[in-house]
Amino acid sequence: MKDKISNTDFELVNKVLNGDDSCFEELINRHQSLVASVAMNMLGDWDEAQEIGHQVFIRFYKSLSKFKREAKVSTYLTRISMNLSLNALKRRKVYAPRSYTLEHAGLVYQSDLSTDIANKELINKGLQMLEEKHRSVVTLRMIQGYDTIETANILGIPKGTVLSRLKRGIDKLKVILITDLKYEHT
Amino acid sequence: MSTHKLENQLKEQQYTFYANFATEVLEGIRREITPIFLRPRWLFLGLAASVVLCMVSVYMQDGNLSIDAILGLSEYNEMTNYYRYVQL
Repeated sequence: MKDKISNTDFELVNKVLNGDDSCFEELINRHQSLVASVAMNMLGDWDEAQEIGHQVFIRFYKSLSKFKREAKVSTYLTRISMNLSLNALKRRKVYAPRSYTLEHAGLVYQSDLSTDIANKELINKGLQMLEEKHRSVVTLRMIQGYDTIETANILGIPKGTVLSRLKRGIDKLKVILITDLKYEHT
Repeated sequence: MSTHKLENQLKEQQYTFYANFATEVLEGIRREITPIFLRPRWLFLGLAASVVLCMVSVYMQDGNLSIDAILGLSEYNEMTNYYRYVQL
């Protein structure tokens, strides 16, 4: 186990390709919170986020032989998570159209990283009220900490678009939090 | 609310899946990569279907499902064997 922890992601990928599936478990453990955060911030629904989480890793496993190591494993997983989350949002519009008002933005909080659970839930609700194009940029750039170029590559949009969507997204989020959700941060 | 405060709050929007998430994913992968006809349920159904087909085939040929018919001995005749022996 200690051996697996000291391996880099690429070494673990090679070992999985050589038939050692237990190394894939280590990859999942390393990156599951990244996938959970992208899916949860994009979807605002814990059950749906878990379903996406499963699909992300299954898809990653199936495409391991095609993984070219041009990007980090984390970036690759973020891209899959983002694409699957956006697909889920499209399906949601087709099969169960709903607007994300306060009543519909119910979510189950599942992390113990923050002491201020109420604020975190409120911000997640605010994120769900943003347009998808703004939410995806805010999620990657501000929450996951990718730089502008990485965000542009993951979303397949120009750098300038990332910057403008980020500015608009943050401004809108501030308005939503203060005006609609009565957010008071001390 | 300042942008700086909001940025700090956004950095805390991190989540994590439950403890046995990895195990469940690995089980899911195993299910996905096992060919459909090798999954236990389908294997059992395939076996049952084969037995039924064999029985139907035997019944259509011999008109009954006796042990002799199933073993292919329903048309066995000791005299036929005897004449074959005599001819040799």
